[in-house]
Amino acid sequence: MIWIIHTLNGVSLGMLLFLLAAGLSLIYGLMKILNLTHGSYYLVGAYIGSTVIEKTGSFALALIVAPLAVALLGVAMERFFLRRFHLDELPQTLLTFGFLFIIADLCLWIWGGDAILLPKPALFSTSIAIGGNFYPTYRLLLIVVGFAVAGVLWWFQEHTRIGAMLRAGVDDAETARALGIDVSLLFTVVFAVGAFLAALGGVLGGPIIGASPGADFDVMLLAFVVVIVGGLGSLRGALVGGLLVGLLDNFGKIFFPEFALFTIFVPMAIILSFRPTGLFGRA
Amino acid sequence: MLVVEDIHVNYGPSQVLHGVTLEVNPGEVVAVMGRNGVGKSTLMRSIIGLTPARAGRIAFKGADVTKLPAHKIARLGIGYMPQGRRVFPSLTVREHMQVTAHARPGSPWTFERMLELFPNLGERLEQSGSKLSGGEQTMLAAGRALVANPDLLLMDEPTEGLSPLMVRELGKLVGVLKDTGTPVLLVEQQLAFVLKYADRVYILSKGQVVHHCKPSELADDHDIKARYLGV
Repeated sequence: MIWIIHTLNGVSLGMLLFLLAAGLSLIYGLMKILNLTHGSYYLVGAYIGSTVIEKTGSFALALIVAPLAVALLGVAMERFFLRRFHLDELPQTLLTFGFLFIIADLCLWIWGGDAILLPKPALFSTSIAIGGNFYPTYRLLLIVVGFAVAGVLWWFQEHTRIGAMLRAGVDDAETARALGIDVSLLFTVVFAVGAFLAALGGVLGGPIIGASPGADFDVMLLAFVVVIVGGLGSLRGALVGGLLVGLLDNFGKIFFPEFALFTIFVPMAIILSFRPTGLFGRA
Repeated sequence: MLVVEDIHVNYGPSQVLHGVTLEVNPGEVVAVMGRNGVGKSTLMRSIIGLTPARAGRIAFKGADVTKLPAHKIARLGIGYMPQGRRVFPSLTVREHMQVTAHARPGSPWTFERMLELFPNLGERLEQSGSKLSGGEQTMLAAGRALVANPDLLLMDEPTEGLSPLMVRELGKLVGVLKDTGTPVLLVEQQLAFVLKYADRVYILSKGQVVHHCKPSELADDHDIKARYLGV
Protein backbone atom coordinates (compact mmCIF):
# COMPACT_ATOMS: atom_id res chain seq x y z
CA MET A 1 0.00 0.00 0.00
CA ILE A 2 3.04 2.19 0.38
CA TRP A 3 3.03 2.45 -3.44
CA ILE A 4 -0.19 4.41 -3.38
CA ILE A 5 1.47 6.91 -1.09
CA HIS A 6 4.53 7.18 -3.32
CA THR A 7 2.36 7.55 -6.38
CA LEU A 8 0.28 10.27 -4.75
CA ASN A 9 3.49 12.07 -3.79
CA GLY A 10 4.69 11.86 -7.37
CA VAL A 11 1.38 13.05 -8.78
CA SER A 12 1.15 16.00 -6.40
CA LEU A 13 4.70 17.05 -7.28
CA GLY A 14 3.79 16.58 -10.91
CA MET A 15 0.88 18.97 -10.51
CA LEU A 16 3.16 21.67 -9.13
CA LEU A 17 5.49 21.10 -12.05
CA PHE A 18 2.55 21.37 -14.41
CA LEU A 19 1.64 24.79 -13.00
CA LEU A 20 5.19 25.94 -13.65
CA ALA A 21 5.62 24.33 -17.04
CA ALA A 22 2.27 25.37 -18.52
CA GLY A 23 3.21 29.04 -18.68
CA LEU A 24 6.77 28.35 -19.77
CA SER A 25 5.53 26.14 -22.57
CA LEU A 26 2.84 28.54 -23.81
CA ILE A 27 5.23 31.51 -23.74
CA TYR A 28 7.77 29.59 -25.78
CA GLY A 29 5.15 28.21 -28.12
CA LEU A 30 3.70 31.61 -28.98
CA MET A 31 6.64 33.97 -28.64
CA LYS A 32 9.68 31.68 -29.00
CA ILE A 33 11.04 33.24 -25.81
CA LEU A 34 12.99 31.00 -23.50
CA ASN A 35 11.94 32.72 -20.30
CA LEU A 36 14.68 32.15 -17.74
CA THR A 37 12.76 34.30 -15.26
CA HIS A 38 10.04 31.69 -14.95
CA GLY A 39 11.53 30.12 -11.82
CA SER A 40 11.67 33.59 -10.29
CA TYR A 41 7.91 33.92 -10.70
CA TYR A 42 7.58 30.81 -8.55
CA LEU A 43 9.92 32.20 -5.91
CA VAL A 44 8.37 35.67 -5.79
CA GLY A 45 4.94 34.05 -5.63
CA ALA A 46 5.99 31.95 -2.64
CA TYR A 47 7.57 34.94 -0.86
CA ILE A 48 4.64 37.28 -1.43
CA GLY A 49 2.35 34.46 -0.33
CA SER A 50 4.33 34.07 2.89
CA THR A 51 4.07 37.80 3.60
CA VAL A 52 0.33 37.83 2.94
CA ILE A 53 -0.18 34.85 5.26
CA GLU A 54 1.99 36.48 7.91
CA LYS A 55 0.04 39.76 7.80
CA THR A 56 -3.49 38.41 7.35
CA GLY A 57 -3.33 34.75 8.30
CA SER A 58 -5.26 33.87 5.18
CA PHE A 59 -3.89 31.24 2.82
CA ALA A 60 -6.78 31.82 0.43
CA LEU A 61 -5.91 35.51 0.17
CA ALA A 62 -2.28 34.58 -0.55
CA LEU A 63 -3.50 32.34 -3.38
CA ILE A 64 -5.12 35.37 -5.01
CA VAL A 65 -2.77 38.25 -4.19
CA ALA A 66 0.58 36.62 -4.97
CA PRO A 67 -0.32 35.30 -8.45
CA LEU A 68 -1.93 38.63 -9.41
CA ALA A 69 1.12 40.60 -8.26
CA VAL A 70 3.46 38.31 -10.16
CA ALA A 71 1.24 38.44 -13.25
CA LEU A 72 1.71 42.24 -13.19
CA LEU A 73 5.47 41.70 -12.95
CA GLY A 74 5.33 39.41 -15.99
CA VAL A 75 3.24 41.89 -17.98
CA ALA A 76 5.67 44.70 -17.15
CA MET A 77 8.61 42.57 -18.30
CA GLU A 78 6.89 41.73 -21.55
CA ARG A 79 5.50 45.18 -22.34
CA PHE A 80 8.51 47.31 -21.46
CA PHE A 81 11.46 45.04 -22.18
CA LEU A 82 10.97 41.82 -24.15
CA ARG A 83 8.72 43.53 -26.71
CA ARG A 84 11.69 45.56 -27.94
CA PHE A 85 13.45 42.39 -29.10
CA HIS A 86 10.64 40.52 -30.78
CA LEU A 87 11.87 37.20 -32.24
CA ASP A 88 15.43 38.18 -31.42
CA GLU A 89 16.33 35.19 -29.30
CA LEU A 90 19.71 36.10 -27.86
CA PRO A 91 18.80 39.54 -26.46
CA GLN A 92 15.54 38.12 -25.11
CA THR A 93 17.20 35.22 -23.36
CA LEU A 94 19.91 37.48 -21.93
CA LEU A 95 17.25 39.90 -20.76
CA THR A 96 15.33 37.19 -18.90
CA PHE A 97 18.63 35.93 -17.48
CA GLY A 98 19.32 39.45 -16.18
CA PHE A 99 15.89 39.62 -14.61
CA LEU A 100 16.55 36.30 -12.91
CA PHE A 101 19.53 37.80 -11.05
CA ILE A 102 17.87 41.14 -10.32
CA ILE A 103 14.80 39.44 -8.88
CA ALA A 104 16.92 36.97 -6.90
CA ASP A 105 18.83 39.85 -5.29
CA LEU A 106 15.67 41.82 -4.60
CA CYS A 107 14.18 38.75 -2.90
CA LEU A 108 17.32 38.31 -0.82
CA TRP A 109 17.08 41.95 0.18
CA ILE A 110 13.38 41.88 1.07
CA TRP A 111 12.88 38.38 2.48
CA GLY A 112 16.40 37.48 3.63
CA GLY A 113 18.47 34.38 2.98
CA ASP A 114 16.77 31.84 5.26
CA ALA A 115 14.73 29.08 3.73
CA ILE A 116 11.07 29.46 4.62
CA LEU A 117 8.23 26.99 4.54
CA LEU A 118 4.75 28.40 4.16
CA PRO A 119 2.21 27.21 6.76
CA LYS A 120 -0.50 24.95 5.38
CA PRO A 121 -4.03 26.30 5.45
CA ALA A 122 -5.77 25.10 8.62
CA LEU A 123 -8.45 23.28 6.65
CA PHE A 124 -5.87 21.09 4.92
CA SER A 125 -3.29 20.50 7.63
CA THR A 126 -4.82 17.17 8.60
CA SER A 127 -4.22 13.64 7.34
CA ILE A 128 -6.54 10.93 6.23
CA ALA A 129 -6.05 7.18 6.23
CA ILE A 130 -5.33 5.65 2.87
CA GLY A 131 -4.77 1.89 2.86
CA GLY A 132 -3.48 1.82 6.42
CA ASN A 133 -1.22 4.86 6.00
CA PHE A 134 -1.87 8.44 6.95
CA TYR A 135 -1.67 10.84 4.09
CA PRO A 136 -1.67 14.66 4.27
CA THR A 137 -4.85 16.14 2.80
CA TYR A 138 -2.81 19.13 1.59
CA ARG A 139 -1.14 16.99 -1.06
CA LEU A 140 -4.53 15.70 -2.17
CA LEU A 141 -5.62 19.35 -2.45
CA LEU A 142 -2.63 19.97 -4.75
CA ILE A 143 -3.74 17.14 -7.01
CA VAL A 144 -7.30 18.43 -7.18
CA VAL A 145 -6.22 22.01 -7.84
CA GLY A 146 -3.76 20.86 -10.48
CA PHE A 147 -6.37 18.91 -12.40
CA ALA A 148 -8.86 21.77 -12.01
CA VAL A 149 -6.38 24.31 -13.42
CA ALA A 150 -5.54 21.92 -16.27
CA GLY A 151 -9.25 21.56 -17.01
CA VAL A 152 -9.86 25.31 -17.04
CA LEU A 153 -6.83 25.95 -19.27
CA TRP A 154 -7.86 23.19 -21.64
CA TRP A 155 -11.39 24.55 -21.86
CA PHE A 156 -10.07 28.05 -22.47
CA GLN A 157 -7.71 26.92 -25.20
CA GLU A 158 -10.11 24.59 -26.99
CA HIS A 159 -13.49 26.24 -26.56
CA THR A 160 -13.06 30.01 -26.53
CA ARG A 161 -12.40 32.37 -29.40
CA ILE A 162 -9.30 33.77 -27.70
CA GLY A 163 -8.07 30.21 -27.17
CA ALA A 164 -8.45 29.52 -30.89
CA MET A 165 -6.61 32.76 -31.67
CA LEU A 166 -3.87 31.62 -29.33
CA ARG A 167 -3.55 28.29 -31.15
CA ALA A 168 -3.49 30.11 -34.48
CA GLY A 169 -0.70 32.32 -33.13
CA VAL A 170 1.31 29.32 -31.93
CA ASP A 171 0.82 27.60 -35.32
CA ASP A 172 1.77 30.58 -37.47
CA ALA A 173 2.05 33.98 -35.80
CA GLU A 174 2.73 35.80 -39.06
CA THR A 175 -0.39 34.56 -40.84
CA ALA A 176 -2.45 35.18 -37.70
CA ARG A 177 -1.34 38.82 -37.68
CA ALA A 178 -2.04 39.24 -41.38
CA LEU A 179 -5.60 38.02 -40.73
CA GLY A 180 -6.23 40.71 -38.14
CA ILE A 181 -5.43 38.84 -34.93
CA ASP A 182 -3.64 41.07 -32.44
CA VAL A 183 -0.85 38.64 -31.64
CA SER A 184 1.06 41.17 -29.56
CA LEU A 185 -1.93 41.45 -27.23
CA LEU A 186 -1.97 37.64 -27.00
CA PHE A 187 1.72 37.82 -25.98
CA THR A 188 0.81 39.98 -23.02
CA VAL A 189 -2.12 37.75 -22.04
CA VAL A 190 0.03 34.63 -22.23
CA PHE A 191 2.80 36.23 -20.21
CA ALA A 192 0.31 37.29 -17.55
CA VAL A 193 -1.27 33.81 -17.39
CA GLY A 194 2.13 32.09 -17.36
CA ALA A 195 3.45 34.25 -14.53
CA PHE A 196 0.15 33.85 -12.65
CA LEU A 197 0.34 30.06 -12.82
CA ALA A 198 4.00 29.95 -11.77
CA ALA A 199 3.24 32.14 -8.75
CA LEU A 200 0.21 29.99 -7.95
CA GLY A 201 2.65 27.07 -7.97
CA GLY A 202 4.86 29.08 -5.63
CA VAL A 203 2.12 29.59 -3.04
CA LEU A 204 0.78 26.04 -3.36
CA GLY A 205 4.27 24.55 -3.31
CA GLY A 206 5.30 26.83 -0.44
CA PRO A 207 4.26 24.39 2.33
CA ILE A 208 6.06 21.49 0.57
CA ILE A 209 9.05 22.80 -1.36
CA GLY A 210 9.27 26.16 0.35
CA ALA A 211 11.13 29.26 -0.75
CA SER A 212 14.84 29.98 -0.45
CA PRO A 213 17.57 31.64 -2.48
CA GLY A 214 18.37 29.30 -5.34
CA ALA A 215 14.90 27.74 -5.46
CA ASP A 216 14.25 29.83 -8.57
CA PHE A 217 17.06 28.00 -10.38
CA ASP A 218 16.04 24.55 -9.14
CA VAL A 219 12.43 25.05 -10.07
CA MET A 220 13.29 26.48 -13.48
CA LEU A 221 15.49 23.49 -14.25
CA LEU A 222 12.68 21.05 -13.43
CA ALA A 223 10.18 23.10 -15.43
CA PHE A 224 12.50 23.01 -18.42
CA VAL A 225 12.77 19.25 -18.19
CA VAL A 226 8.97 18.99 -18.07
CA VAL A 227 8.56 21.23 -21.10
CA ILE A 228 11.25 19.42 -23.07
CA VAL A 229 9.78 16.02 -22.28
CA GLY A 230 6.19 17.11 -22.92
CA GLY A 231 6.90 19.18 -26.02
CA LEU A 232 7.16 22.95 -26.33
CA GLY A 233 3.94 24.88 -26.83
CA SER A 234 1.63 22.06 -25.74
CA LEU A 235 -0.58 22.21 -22.64
CA ARG A 236 -1.16 18.48 -22.76
CA GLY A 237 2.61 18.06 -22.95
CA ALA A 238 3.05 20.19 -19.83
CA LEU A 239 0.51 18.08 -17.94
CA VAL A 240 1.82 14.67 -19.01
CA GLY A 241 5.43 15.84 -18.73
CA GLY A 242 4.78 17.23 -15.26
CA LEU A 243 3.22 13.99 -14.04
CA LEU A 244 5.99 11.93 -15.60
CA VAL A 245 8.79 13.99 -14.09
CA GLY A 246 7.00 14.16 -10.73
CA LEU A 247 6.65 10.37 -10.62
CA LEU A 248 10.17 9.73 -11.92
CA ASP A 249 11.64 12.10 -9.38
CA ASN A 250 9.71 10.50 -6.55
CA PHE A 251 10.35 6.85 -7.42
CA GLY A 252 13.92 7.65 -8.45
CA LYS A 253 14.63 8.97 -4.98
CA ILE A 254 13.26 5.76 -3.49
CA PHE A 255 15.05 3.25 -5.72
CA PHE A 256 18.26 5.14 -6.47
CA PRO A 257 18.62 7.77 -3.76
CA GLU A 258 22.26 8.35 -4.71
CA PHE A 259 21.30 9.36 -8.28
CA ALA A 260 18.70 12.01 -7.54
CA LEU A 261 18.74 14.04 -10.77
CA PHE A 262 19.94 11.11 -12.86
CA THR A 263 16.49 9.50 -12.79
CA ILE A 264 14.99 12.60 -14.42
CA PHE A 265 17.61 13.42 -17.00
CA VAL A 266 18.24 9.92 -18.31
CA PRO A 267 14.58 9.33 -19.21
CA MET A 268 14.54 12.82 -20.73
CA ALA A 269 17.52 11.93 -22.93
CA ILE A 270 15.86 8.66 -23.95
CA ILE A 271 12.58 10.36 -24.84
CA LEU A 272 14.39 13.04 -26.82
CA SER A 273 16.36 10.48 -28.80
CA PHE A 274 13.09 8.92 -29.99
CA ARG A 275 10.97 12.06 -30.13
CA PRO A 276 13.19 15.11 -30.56
CA THR A 277 10.25 17.49 -30.21
CA GLY A 278 9.03 15.91 -26.97
CA LEU A 279 5.97 13.73 -26.41
CA PHE A 280 3.39 16.19 -27.75
CA GLY A 281 5.59 18.73 -29.51
CA ARG A 282 5.42 19.57 -33.18
CA ALA A 283 8.42 20.05 -35.40
CA MET B 1 -8.96 52.02 -52.97
CA LEU B 2 -5.32 50.88 -52.73
CA VAL B 3 -2.43 53.07 -53.84
CA VAL B 4 1.15 51.81 -53.71
CA GLU B 5 3.64 54.61 -54.39
CA ASP B 6 7.28 53.98 -55.17
CA ILE B 7 7.86 51.44 -52.38
CA HIS B 8 11.31 50.08 -51.63
CA VAL B 9 11.34 46.88 -49.61
CA ASN B 10 14.10 44.77 -48.13
CA TYR B 11 13.65 41.13 -47.30
CA GLY B 12 16.39 40.29 -44.86
CA PRO B 13 19.61 41.92 -46.02
CA SER B 14 18.72 42.16 -49.70
CA GLN B 15 16.51 44.70 -51.40
CA VAL B 16 13.64 43.03 -53.24
CA LEU B 17 11.43 45.88 -54.44
CA HIS B 18 13.02 48.92 -56.09
CA GLY B 19 10.28 51.51 -56.31
CA VAL B 20 7.04 49.74 -57.17
CA THR B 21 3.97 51.83 -57.96
CA LEU B 22 0.52 50.43 -58.63
CA GLU B 23 -3.10 50.96 -57.73
CA VAL B 24 -6.33 49.01 -57.35
CA ASN B 25 -9.61 50.82 -57.97
CA PRO B 26 -13.01 49.88 -56.53
CA GLY B 27 -14.48 46.78 -58.14
CA GLU B 28 -11.33 45.84 -60.05
CA VAL B 29 -9.45 42.55 -60.26
CA VAL B 30 -5.82 43.51 -60.73
CA ALA B 31 -3.18 40.89 -61.44
CA VAL B 32 0.54 41.01 -60.75
CA MET B 33 2.63 38.67 -62.89
CA GLY B 34 6.30 37.88 -63.28
CA ARG B 35 8.80 35.08 -62.99
CA ASN B 36 9.74 33.46 -59.69
CA GLY B 37 11.71 35.67 -57.32
CA VAL B 38 10.87 39.04 -58.83
CA GLY B 39 9.22 40.21 -55.61
CA LYS B 40 5.53 39.46 -56.16
CA SER B 41 4.98 37.87 -52.75
CA THR B 42 7.08 40.54 -51.06
CA LEU B 43 4.79 43.15 -52.60
CA MET B 44 1.77 41.41 -51.05
CA ARG B 45 3.54 41.09 -47.70
CA SER B 46 4.38 44.80 -47.74
CA ILE B 47 0.79 45.78 -48.39
CA ILE B 48 -0.53 43.70 -45.50
CA GLY B 49 2.32 44.89 -43.24
CA LEU B 50 4.37 41.71 -42.76
CA THR B 51 7.46 43.19 -44.47
CA PRO B 52 6.99 46.95 -44.14
CA ALA B 53 8.31 49.19 -46.89
CA ARG B 54 11.58 50.98 -46.14
CA ALA B 55 10.65 53.92 -48.35
CA GLY B 56 7.60 54.94 -50.32
CA ARG B 57 3.96 55.00 -49.32
CA ILE B 58 1.00 52.62 -49.22
CA ALA B 59 -2.46 54.12 -48.82
CA PHE B 60 -5.68 52.19 -48.34
CA LYS B 61 -9.05 53.95 -48.53
CA GLY B 62 -7.14 57.21 -48.23
CA ALA B 63 -5.30 56.29 -45.01
CA ASP B 64 -1.53 55.87 -44.89
CA VAL B 65 -0.89 52.26 -43.81
CA THR B 66 2.80 52.06 -44.74
CA LYS B 67 4.07 51.59 -41.19
CA LEU B 68 0.99 50.12 -39.50
CA PRO B 69 1.25 46.70 -37.83
CA ALA B 70 -0.24 43.87 -39.90
CA HIS B 71 -3.29 43.20 -37.73
CA LYS B 72 -4.34 46.85 -37.92
CA ILE B 73 -4.04 46.89 -41.70
CA ALA B 74 -6.09 43.70 -41.85
CA ARG B 75 -8.76 45.24 -39.62
CA LEU B 76 -8.96 48.31 -41.85
CA GLY B 77 -10.38 45.92 -44.42
CA ILE B 78 -7.67 44.05 -46.31
CA GLY B 79 -8.10 40.28 -46.57
CA TYR B 80 -5.04 38.14 -47.24
CA MET B 81 -4.64 34.69 -48.76
CA PRO B 82 -0.95 33.91 -48.27
CA GLN B 83 1.12 31.91 -50.71
CA GLY B 84 0.95 28.23 -49.82
CA ARG B 85 -2.40 28.85 -48.06
CA ARG B 86 -0.93 28.46 -44.57
CA VAL B 87 -4.01 27.10 -42.80
CA PHE B 88 -3.64 26.54 -39.06
CA PRO B 89 -3.12 22.85 -38.19
CA SER B 90 -4.45 23.29 -34.63
CA LEU B 91 -7.71 24.90 -35.73
CA THR B 92 -10.77 23.19 -37.10
CA VAL B 93 -12.45 24.47 -40.24
CA ARG B 94 -15.13 26.12 -38.10
CA GLU B 95 -12.54 27.81 -35.88
CA HIS B 96 -10.69 29.20 -38.90
CA MET B 97 -13.79 31.13 -39.78
CA GLN B 98 -14.49 32.18 -36.19
CA VAL B 99 -11.16 33.73 -35.26
CA THR B 100 -11.14 36.14 -38.18
CA ALA B 101 -14.89 36.80 -38.45
CA HIS B 102 -15.87 40.42 -38.42
CA ALA B 103 -19.40 41.24 -39.47
CA ARG B 104 -20.43 44.79 -40.18
CA PRO B 105 -24.00 45.86 -40.86
CA GLY B 106 -24.90 44.78 -44.36
CA SER B 107 -21.64 42.96 -44.93
CA PRO B 108 -22.04 40.10 -47.39
CA TRP B 109 -19.68 37.41 -46.06
CA THR B 110 -21.15 35.45 -43.21
CA PHE B 111 -20.27 31.99 -41.96
CA GLU B 112 -23.45 30.63 -43.59
CA ARG B 113 -22.65 32.32 -46.90
CA MET B 114 -19.21 30.68 -46.86
CA LEU B 115 -20.77 27.25 -46.44
CA GLU B 116 -23.08 27.93 -49.37
CA LEU B 117 -20.10 28.93 -51.46
CA PHE B 118 -17.86 26.06 -50.31
CA PRO B 119 -20.13 23.11 -49.46
CA ASN B 120 -17.06 20.87 -49.10
CA LEU B 121 -15.97 22.85 -46.06
CA GLY B 122 -19.40 22.48 -44.53
CA GLU B 123 -18.94 18.72 -44.43
CA ARG B 124 -15.63 19.06 -42.63
CA LEU B 125 -16.37 21.73 -40.05
CA GLU B 126 -14.80 19.87 -37.14
CA GLN B 127 -11.72 18.67 -39.01
CA SER B 128 -8.26 20.13 -38.58
CA GLY B 129 -7.18 22.54 -41.31
CA SER B 130 -4.18 20.37 -42.10
CA LYS B 131 -6.37 17.32 -42.86
CA LEU B 132 -7.98 19.00 -45.87
CA SER B 133 -6.98 18.50 -49.50
CA GLY B 134 -5.02 21.25 -51.24
CA GLY B 135 -8.13 22.58 -52.96
CA GLU B 136 -10.11 22.59 -49.73
CA GLN B 137 -7.28 24.38 -47.97
CA THR B 138 -7.41 27.07 -50.64
CA MET B 139 -11.15 27.44 -50.11
CA LEU B 140 -10.56 27.61 -46.36
CA ALA B 141 -7.88 30.29 -46.81
CA ALA B 142 -10.37 32.23 -48.92
CA GLY B 143 -13.17 31.66 -46.43
CA ARG B 144 -11.25 32.79 -43.37
CA ALA B 145 -10.13 35.94 -45.21
CA LEU B 146 -13.64 36.73 -46.46
CA VAL B 147 -15.54 36.32 -43.17
CA ALA B 148 -13.64 39.40 -42.01
CA ASN B 149 -15.58 41.17 -44.77
CA PRO B 150 -12.59 42.88 -46.37
CA ASP B 151 -12.91 45.79 -48.78
CA LEU B 152 -9.95 44.39 -50.75
CA LEU B 153 -8.68 40.83 -51.04
CA LEU B 154 -5.03 39.98 -51.63
CA MET B 155 -4.58 36.55 -53.26
CA ASP B 156 -1.02 35.29 -53.48
CA GLU B 157 -0.76 32.52 -56.09
CA PRO B 158 -4.11 30.92 -55.21
CA THR B 159 -4.03 28.41 -58.10
CA GLU B 160 -0.62 27.02 -57.10
CA GLY B 161 -0.81 23.24 -56.88
CA LEU B 162 -4.53 23.06 -57.66
CA SER B 163 -6.20 20.61 -60.04
CA PRO B 164 -7.91 22.12 -63.11
CA LEU B 165 -11.25 21.42 -61.46
CA MET B 166 -10.28 23.38 -58.34
CA VAL B 167 -8.86 26.20 -60.47
CA ARG B 168 -12.29 26.49 -62.06
CA GLU B 169 -13.90 26.59 -58.58
CA LEU B 170 -11.50 29.35 -57.61
CA GLY B 171 -12.38 31.20 -60.79
CA LYS B 172 -16.02 31.06 -59.77
CA LEU B 173 -15.09 32.63 -56.45
CA VAL B 174 -13.23 35.47 -58.19
CA GLY B 175 -16.34 35.91 -60.35
CA VAL B 176 -18.52 36.16 -57.23
CA LEU B 177 -16.11 38.70 -55.72
CA LYS B 178 -16.36 40.76 -58.89
CA ASP B 179 -20.15 40.61 -58.76
CA THR B 180 -20.19 41.84 -55.16
CA GLY B 181 -17.78 44.62 -56.09
CA THR B 182 -14.95 43.42 -53.83
CA PRO B 183 -11.67 44.38 -55.50
CA VAL B 184 -8.91 41.77 -55.71
CA LEU B 185 -5.17 42.10 -56.05
CA LEU B 186 -4.02 38.81 -57.49
CA VAL B 187 -0.49 37.46 -57.79
CA GLU B 188 -0.66 34.69 -60.33
CA GLN B 189 1.55 32.55 -62.58
CA GLN B 190 -1.21 30.99 -64.69
CA LEU B 191 -1.68 33.26 -67.67
CA ALA B 192 -5.03 31.72 -68.64
CA PHE B 193 -6.46 32.49 -65.20
CA VAL B 194 -5.29 36.09 -65.38
CA LEU B 195 -6.58 36.58 -68.93
CA LYS B 196 -9.96 35.30 -67.87
CA TYR B 197 -10.53 37.24 -64.67
CA ALA B 198 -8.24 40.29 -64.43
CA ASP B 199 -9.19 43.81 -65.47
CA ARG B 200 -5.59 45.04 -65.54
CA VAL B 201 -2.17 43.42 -65.32
CA TYR B 202 1.11 44.67 -63.90
CA ILE B 203 4.28 42.81 -64.84
CA LEU B 204 7.11 42.76 -62.35
CA SER B 205 10.74 42.10 -63.11
CA LYS B 206 13.69 42.46 -60.72
CA GLY B 207 11.61 44.35 -58.19
CA GLN B 208 10.15 46.90 -60.59
CA VAL B 209 6.99 47.27 -62.63
CA VAL B 210 8.15 46.88 -66.22
CA HIS B 211 4.82 46.70 -67.98
CA HIS B 212 1.20 47.59 -67.33
CA CYS B 213 -1.65 46.70 -69.68
CA LYS B 214 -5.05 45.14 -70.21
CA PRO B 215 -5.19 41.33 -70.29
CA SER B 216 -6.36 41.41 -73.91
CA GLU B 217 -3.23 43.34 -74.88
CA LEU B 218 -1.05 40.88 -73.01
CA ALA B 219 -2.58 37.92 -74.82
CA ASP B 220 -1.20 39.17 -78.13
CA ASP B 221 2.08 40.61 -76.94
CA HIS B 222 4.46 37.71 -77.55
CA ASP B 223 7.53 39.81 -76.88
CA ILE B 224 6.44 40.74 -73.31
CA LYS B 225 5.23 37.23 -72.59
CA ALA B 226 8.51 35.69 -73.71
CA ARG B 227 10.69 38.23 -71.95
CA TYR B 228 8.98 38.49 -68.57
CA LEU B 229 6.76 35.47 -68.18
CA GLY B 230 8.71 32.78 -69.97
CA VAL B 231 5.66 31.76 -72.01
